[in-house]
Amino acid sequence: MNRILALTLIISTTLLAADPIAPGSKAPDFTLKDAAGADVALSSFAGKTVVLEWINFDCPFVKKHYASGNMPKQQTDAKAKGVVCLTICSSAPGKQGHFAGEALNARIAAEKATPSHYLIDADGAVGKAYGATTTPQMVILDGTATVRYHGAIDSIRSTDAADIPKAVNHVATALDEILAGKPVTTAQSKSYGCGVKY
Amino acid sequence: MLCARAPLFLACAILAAGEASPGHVSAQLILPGSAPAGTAVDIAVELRIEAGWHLYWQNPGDSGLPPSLRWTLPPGWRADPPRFPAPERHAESGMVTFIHHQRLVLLSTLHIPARAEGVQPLRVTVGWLACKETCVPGKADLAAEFHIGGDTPADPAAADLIAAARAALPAPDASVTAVRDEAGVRLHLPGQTAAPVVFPAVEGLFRSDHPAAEAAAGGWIVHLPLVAGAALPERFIGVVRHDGRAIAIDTPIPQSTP
Repeated sequence: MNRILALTLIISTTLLAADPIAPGSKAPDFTLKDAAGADVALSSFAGKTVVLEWINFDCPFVKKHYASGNMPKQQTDAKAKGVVCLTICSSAPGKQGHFAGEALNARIAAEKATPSHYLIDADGAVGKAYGATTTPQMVILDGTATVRYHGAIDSIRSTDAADIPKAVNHVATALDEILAGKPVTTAQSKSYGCGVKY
Repeated sequence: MLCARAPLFLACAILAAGEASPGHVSAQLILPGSAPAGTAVDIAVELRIEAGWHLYWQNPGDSGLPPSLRWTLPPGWRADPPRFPAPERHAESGMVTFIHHQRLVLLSTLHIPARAEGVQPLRVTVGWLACKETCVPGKADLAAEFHIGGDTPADPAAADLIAAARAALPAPDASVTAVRDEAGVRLHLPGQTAAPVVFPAVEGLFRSDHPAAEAAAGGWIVHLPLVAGAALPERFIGVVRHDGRAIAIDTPIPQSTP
């Protein structure tokens, strides 16, 4: 029995080491420029629940959640509850999904995106520090910058917006639990989407 | 034109109604001609992929989406989930995906009820994600008529295509064994000369970017770390490419460390 427990602990430790943002771990701090050119530091949101969303507007999986209005609604709902929504684009300049300046602001408006900030991670350093592999990919941090959820936006991996109402929205569920002071039932899932265009 | 050459109106039906090519992929429903009621036959969906583009395997790896088949069949008919040939390993921007180039034939076993008769329509909606740096979703609605009974001659070209796809499926191989190790699973693959490439069949359990195979006495060792948060399954199910062929593995993972 003790041997099994010890083995479980070893495996858990190994897995924590392998995943920079496993639930329960401290999120790496970062400072990125937003779409308006202002510096935004994660540490400036201490005390608040923060949702990080990796984005590439031209990825079909991202389009599913914007053209349907699902992601904008989630951002609006979360912000109304005092949650900070940070959209991060780790596409390299010249690669799909990278936008800057006026083109970026026009695209944000066209997509009806309403994050607290749209952040540009052109060298991919923040995406890599968070192990972001897909767009979309979602991370939720509590007021102490501890990772409470990491993974997919919802439970049905597809590019079809008709699947959204049938899916369990892991992010909305986790946010409700965090805001109610409860443990997060599903703290990790496999994200689905396009590869991040580093 | 192809219809004029085809010996059977059945082939005409396939070509006229069963083909579609939006989004860098053309899809075709291939039926073997006819089959008796109460039997099971393999039918195929052939996906031809534009040069440079790829589709995904059943476990796509770190990103992507496998093709999907949604059947609309007569009452009582049933089609099993598709069987995939072995994929290729594709590493890009630090992510590993399992993909198919050029052509992908998905085989499904069609179960014909005992009371089936006449000519029955089969429909399938094929969905896919085609990628070449960027990704484009595609969809095709395919239809063809299936003839019950032995009086309609089989379509030899379709039967050959289906037989070739069946022969290309990974062959079961019981020589591979799995043991639990500190991070996941260690596979032992005996009797192979070239380094094997392992593809776990179930998505989200094992890391796609696992370390390369290591030569060991009489074969190779492959370490497959679990994905963070994943529980060790009871069996390792996957496909291995080695020495120019593909094998299918389905082996228990003993739960205690030896």
